[in-house]
Amino acid sequence: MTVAAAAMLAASGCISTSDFEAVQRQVVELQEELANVKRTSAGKEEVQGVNTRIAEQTETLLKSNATLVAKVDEIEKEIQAAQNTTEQSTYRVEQLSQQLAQAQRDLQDLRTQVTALQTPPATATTAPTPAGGTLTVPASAASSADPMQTYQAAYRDYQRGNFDLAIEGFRDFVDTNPKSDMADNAAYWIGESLFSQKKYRDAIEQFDIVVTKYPKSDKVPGALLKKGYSYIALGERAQGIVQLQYVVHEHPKSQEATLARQRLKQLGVDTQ
Amino acid sequence: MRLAIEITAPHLRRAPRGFAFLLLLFLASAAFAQTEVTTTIGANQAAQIIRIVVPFPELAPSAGTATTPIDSGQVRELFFAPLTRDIAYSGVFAIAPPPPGVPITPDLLKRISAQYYLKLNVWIEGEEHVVEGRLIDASGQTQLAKRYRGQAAALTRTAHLLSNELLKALNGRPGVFLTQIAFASNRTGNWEIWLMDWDGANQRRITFHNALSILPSWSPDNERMVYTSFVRGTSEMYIINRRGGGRVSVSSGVALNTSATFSPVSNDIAFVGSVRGNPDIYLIKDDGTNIRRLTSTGSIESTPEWSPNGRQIAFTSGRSGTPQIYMMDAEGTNVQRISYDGNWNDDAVFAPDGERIAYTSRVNGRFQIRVANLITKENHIIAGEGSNEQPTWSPDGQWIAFQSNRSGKWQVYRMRADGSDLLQLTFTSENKEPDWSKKPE
Repeated sequence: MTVAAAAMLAASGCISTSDFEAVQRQVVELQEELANVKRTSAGKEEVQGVNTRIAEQTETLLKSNATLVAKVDEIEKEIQAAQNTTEQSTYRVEQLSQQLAQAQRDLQDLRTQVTALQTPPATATTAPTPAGGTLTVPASAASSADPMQTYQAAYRDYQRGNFDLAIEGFRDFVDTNPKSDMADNAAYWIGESLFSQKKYRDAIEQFDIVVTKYPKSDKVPGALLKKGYSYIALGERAQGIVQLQYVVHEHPKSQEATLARQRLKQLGVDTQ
Repeated sequence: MRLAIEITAPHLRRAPRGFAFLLLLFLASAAFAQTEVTTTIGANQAAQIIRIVVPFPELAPSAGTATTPIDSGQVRELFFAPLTRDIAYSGVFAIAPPPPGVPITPDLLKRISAQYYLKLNVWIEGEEHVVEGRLIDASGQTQLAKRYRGQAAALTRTAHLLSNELLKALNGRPGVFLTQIAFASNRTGNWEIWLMDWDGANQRRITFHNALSILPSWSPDNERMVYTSFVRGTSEMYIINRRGGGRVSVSSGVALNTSATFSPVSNDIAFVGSVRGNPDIYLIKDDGTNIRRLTSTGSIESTPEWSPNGRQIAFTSGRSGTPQIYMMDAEGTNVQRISYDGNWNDDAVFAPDGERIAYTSRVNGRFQIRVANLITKENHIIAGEGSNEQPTWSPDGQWIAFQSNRSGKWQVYRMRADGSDLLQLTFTSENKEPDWSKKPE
């Protein structure tokens, strides 16, 4: 395990393991030397000397092992902390973008109200609107329903298994809020809802939309993978394989690439 | 560096399910710091309660006289007690006590502001008990009439059937009075799988492995359970029917095989498997074919749980340094973190509406049940004494059963989803890992 740890460190290029390897090499050399000495029937003293050197080198080796193990643990913790920070940031960004959407909506409402104030009713005199007076804003001019509510209602329908309603809701959200930070999510959930309904042809089309319209979205690897799964479910094995290989090629470090490799292996395709 | 996973039964005896359990095996170190903190369970605020009068049954047919003598104590214990428990805990009814010795008339109902009167008759005909229930409203009209026949042993089931009918008639939704809670108990000296009624009655053993058998989980049709047993020395998954028969093993070819749970929509089972000491979430068909690995991080992944639509899986992962709740599509794609409060969140379970999840959350050093809304992202803690873990929802989403060590031993408790109406369900030895059957019956 410790050797594996060292190999992992070496592979990840985090620290050099040349010392470790050198010590290991030395031990092997010393063991060979000892064997030679024994073969040549050298004096007991000489054998004793070699033995001591082996013991010393072994100790050094063990120590360097322990250091490496500690370092692996440390690095693992750092990776996890980084993961945690990323997740917390993502969450915060999501919250902020929702707040921003709310603020934009409030601003829009205010604008509407200001417009209403600036446009005096046809029958009214030029007298200014008294401060604190009641404002009557026509319903048609009011901002449309809260987009987050539309999104949440659609997600609620998805969780309840009302996929048709969910698709309708998410489509509504994407159509009216194409620039929202949640638009890529909504587009993905449309695809996932279609996939859930086994409407694979429609799902493929929708996952393509996710990939082309939101190329920087974190949903892209998932959309690509699901597209591959859809082809396989449709019996279009070759197309599916190509799609899965594409996921591995384009997003090699993603969870989706790991899943694609596994599925390719199941399909008997070499992923190298 | 991590130690290799080596499962032995004595470890598990002390270990909780899920992440804590895996971590124990993973790091060979358990840490459950306990501090004495007194908290209270919030009171239930029921909106519209129907007041109903339920007097002890008349032990004779509604028309005529009884010919065979009947054991009144038995009727009370096996029929009347569970019936009134169901009605009292229905969340829909409150039992109004009538003044003693006064015949129950529409006038009396009005005087004590009761809307209904449940008139009960129990008598014996030949070998069978006959139960008759009439729901009479304040105008004297019969709204519902039901008659059941069966052996004395079926009296309790009859009580639950009648309660379900009452609830369906007046509230439109099915009751959970016939649902069952599976759990693991060590009362025979070994941990085995047991079942009980929703009110804790009728506790019965259904596995006889004489070996560590834990983590039961119901199938969506309430007909089967999947669980983990060490009967052959290593931990393997087994499926058994609700009567304890038809046992089959599901061999996955990987280690651990814990936290297995049936998909609500397909014949897939999600479970925690381990290859080279790294626990991950896997899927396998219930016949042991088509194993698929869904997660592949270097950290511990544990306690998978399906969403009611069968398209999402919630699970616990240590990928950010502490155990947190995540959710992914059933294909392993689209992983999202769900829990952000606290440094230990585990054992997520979806409410039947798919909108809320309950999970175990460490708060001030103790484990508590937390309920989070997936749509609005709001969450709240249901505080109780001791450590409170491993929630499971009733199929109507009104109740949560869980395990708590507040009495000094692990026991199974039940409460409303808001924390009110707390009831201890088990008392003998130690009892853990409750799993509520999946649909109302």
